[in-house]
Amino acid sequence: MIKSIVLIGMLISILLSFIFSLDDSKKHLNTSSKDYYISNSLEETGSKNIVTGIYLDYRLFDSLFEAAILLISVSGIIFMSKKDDEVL
Amino acid sequence: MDLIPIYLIFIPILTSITIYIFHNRYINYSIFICQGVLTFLSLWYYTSFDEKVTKTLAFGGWSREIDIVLKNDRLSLLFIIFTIFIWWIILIYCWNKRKYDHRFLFFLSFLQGSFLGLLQTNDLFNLFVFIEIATIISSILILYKKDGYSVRAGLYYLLFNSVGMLCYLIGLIFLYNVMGTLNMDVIGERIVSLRGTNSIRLAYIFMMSAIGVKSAFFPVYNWLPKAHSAAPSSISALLSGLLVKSGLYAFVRLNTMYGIESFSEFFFLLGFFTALSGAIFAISQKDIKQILAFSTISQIGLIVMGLSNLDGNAFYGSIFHILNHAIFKCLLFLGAGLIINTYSKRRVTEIRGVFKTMPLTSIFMIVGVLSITGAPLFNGFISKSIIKYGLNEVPYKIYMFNILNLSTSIALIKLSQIFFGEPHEKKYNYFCENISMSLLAVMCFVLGIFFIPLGQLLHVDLGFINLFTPWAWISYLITLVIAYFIYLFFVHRELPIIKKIRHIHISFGAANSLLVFFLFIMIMWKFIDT
Amino acid sequence: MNPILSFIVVLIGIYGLCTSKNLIKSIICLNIVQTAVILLFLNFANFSGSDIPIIFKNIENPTDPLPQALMITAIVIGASITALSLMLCIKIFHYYGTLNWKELIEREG
Repeated sequence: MIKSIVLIGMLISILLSFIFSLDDSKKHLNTSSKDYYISNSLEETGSKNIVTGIYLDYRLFDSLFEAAILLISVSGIIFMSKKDDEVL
Repeated sequence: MDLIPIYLIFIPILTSITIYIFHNRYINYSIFICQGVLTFLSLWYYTSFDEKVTKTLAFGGWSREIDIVLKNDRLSLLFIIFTIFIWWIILIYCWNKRKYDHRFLFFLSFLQGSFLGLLQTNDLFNLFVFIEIATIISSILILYKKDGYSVRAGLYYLLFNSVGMLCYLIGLIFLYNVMGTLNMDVIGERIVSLRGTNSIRLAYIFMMSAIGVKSAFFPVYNWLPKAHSAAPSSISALLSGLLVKSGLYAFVRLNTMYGIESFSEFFFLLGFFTALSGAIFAISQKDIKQILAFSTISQIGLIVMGLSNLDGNAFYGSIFHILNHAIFKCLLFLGAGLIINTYSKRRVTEIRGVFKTMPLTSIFMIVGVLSITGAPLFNGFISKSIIKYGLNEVPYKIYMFNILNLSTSIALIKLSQIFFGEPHEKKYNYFCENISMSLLAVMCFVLGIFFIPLGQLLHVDLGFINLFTPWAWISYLITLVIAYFIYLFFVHRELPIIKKIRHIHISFGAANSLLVFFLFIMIMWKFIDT
Repeated sequence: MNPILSFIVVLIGIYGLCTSKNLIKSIICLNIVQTAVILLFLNFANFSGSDIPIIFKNIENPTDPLPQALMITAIVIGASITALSLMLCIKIFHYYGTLNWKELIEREG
């Protein structure tokens, strides 16, 4: 009982500090990336959907390794499910 | 020549996919070709570096603030060369057993490619993706033996590290909201005027708690002993030597980017508690791999004590200690693997007579034990003296340091009782394994004597360390004698409190509560400091 | 207001992770935290009176497209971690016959 009260107390204090910092961050917003993407993405990537342009052209390196994560996790699941392999 | 960073990432990945597609035993030898090409490319790239220059490779030639950039400076290049060296050692060690196991070589080589990518990236979200790949692959490699203990340890490791990286994402969106970009160099320039504000400090707290989970700081290190003692021996050596240091590398990079100075005292105290609790748990364990895993936590605490202020002698001493610790911890884990294989027992109190059964292996392990306790002529002494010299301003810090050295010696004396006694009847022939261990022992010895050229690599003047003063030898012998007496009177007699410490188990829910507690004390420190 | 609500869902998920005694419940709470973090990212990008970030003729105030692209990657990473950990749950149930955290951690070796 005491443990859950202490835990809820700590979580509420994290929430309060989040609310303070959120109010503080509204004074210092910086939107330079957003303006660059909106004004230049049609000429540089050729797609009208800006999110697709970012995911497949500006940040292709991330998307490549996300596909690698899919490869790794599927091969890990196949490896785990084999029963008659003698692994030393 | 300019594209070498991309080759370093993609050559291991393509080799691993080739090995996985053809289930052929002759194609498995192509991993050696891949390692040789990587060694040649990294050494060639090193020779093209001038004094204190950083080379960047931008992926598209777009504007600097939205592009993914790979950056190499001297620190990352040192880590890259060490990574390729340790991967050679692990490959030679486990070649006998895993010649025909294409899945193991697939995962091992893929991990190398993604680790080399982690060391070079300059973009915050790219760092997150690379850390997640390393987490998933190493959790699959931990549970490679597929028995109950390994699967439990692997699952605990995977879940807990995923929770940690989610805290990293929360800090990332805060930082992006205020900074407007995700490039680490551009953030480092723009953050100078905003360092004291609440929002930057909260983003720092969330990111540092994620780095704390990844590199085993004080409240959140419970995944490490389970994972490192359940894994196969070569993977244990790899994890303890190198992959835990990826968290410390990210710690250095993020602290250089943020530049917040009010948390350096906090990390010094945190490092001390990590080291002390790791040593106390190490003294109470009986399993040989658990002693080594807890002593890893203790040495990481020592490294964080040096890394907490970002400049000066203690910082460079900690960077050297990261590399030295990789070498001798790999050596100890590989030796422990051979001992467990010969004796088929894991407890230190039951294994006897290693020196007469396997003389070559035990000589290498004695070299490892002498290095980790800081004997002169070996490399542990060099890095510990640099850290001690860097902490020289405040006297209570020197006392803390000496207590930690003493506790490390007690734990390693408990380990070294396996060398005495009668020989065992079974003897195996370990040719490849002894070759790899001999390479590591030679590196221990060489780095302990020729340390001045290594200092010139990082532009640090190391001429103040004198090997042959009698005070160095005498203080080491005094530490050993005091540690032996404490061991004889308290630890060897198996007091009941030691048994209670050994049986402390922290469940998954309690570990997550400790993560929340870690966030809470950092927020409290932020409020006390303003 | 909206980022605060998604952060409350994150904290509810973390509370669930701290106090769940079953293995499957822990994995579901991990999924809740992952989904809530994705919601937090999207809430920081959005503001009232904004349009979709697609270039048509009369779009005035598009939202920020970068967090939305990053979250496509994060959704895939979360799904593959959930898949791998559920496979390991099946293996643990084959070996031990129980899915209780307390009984699994207390066993030695």
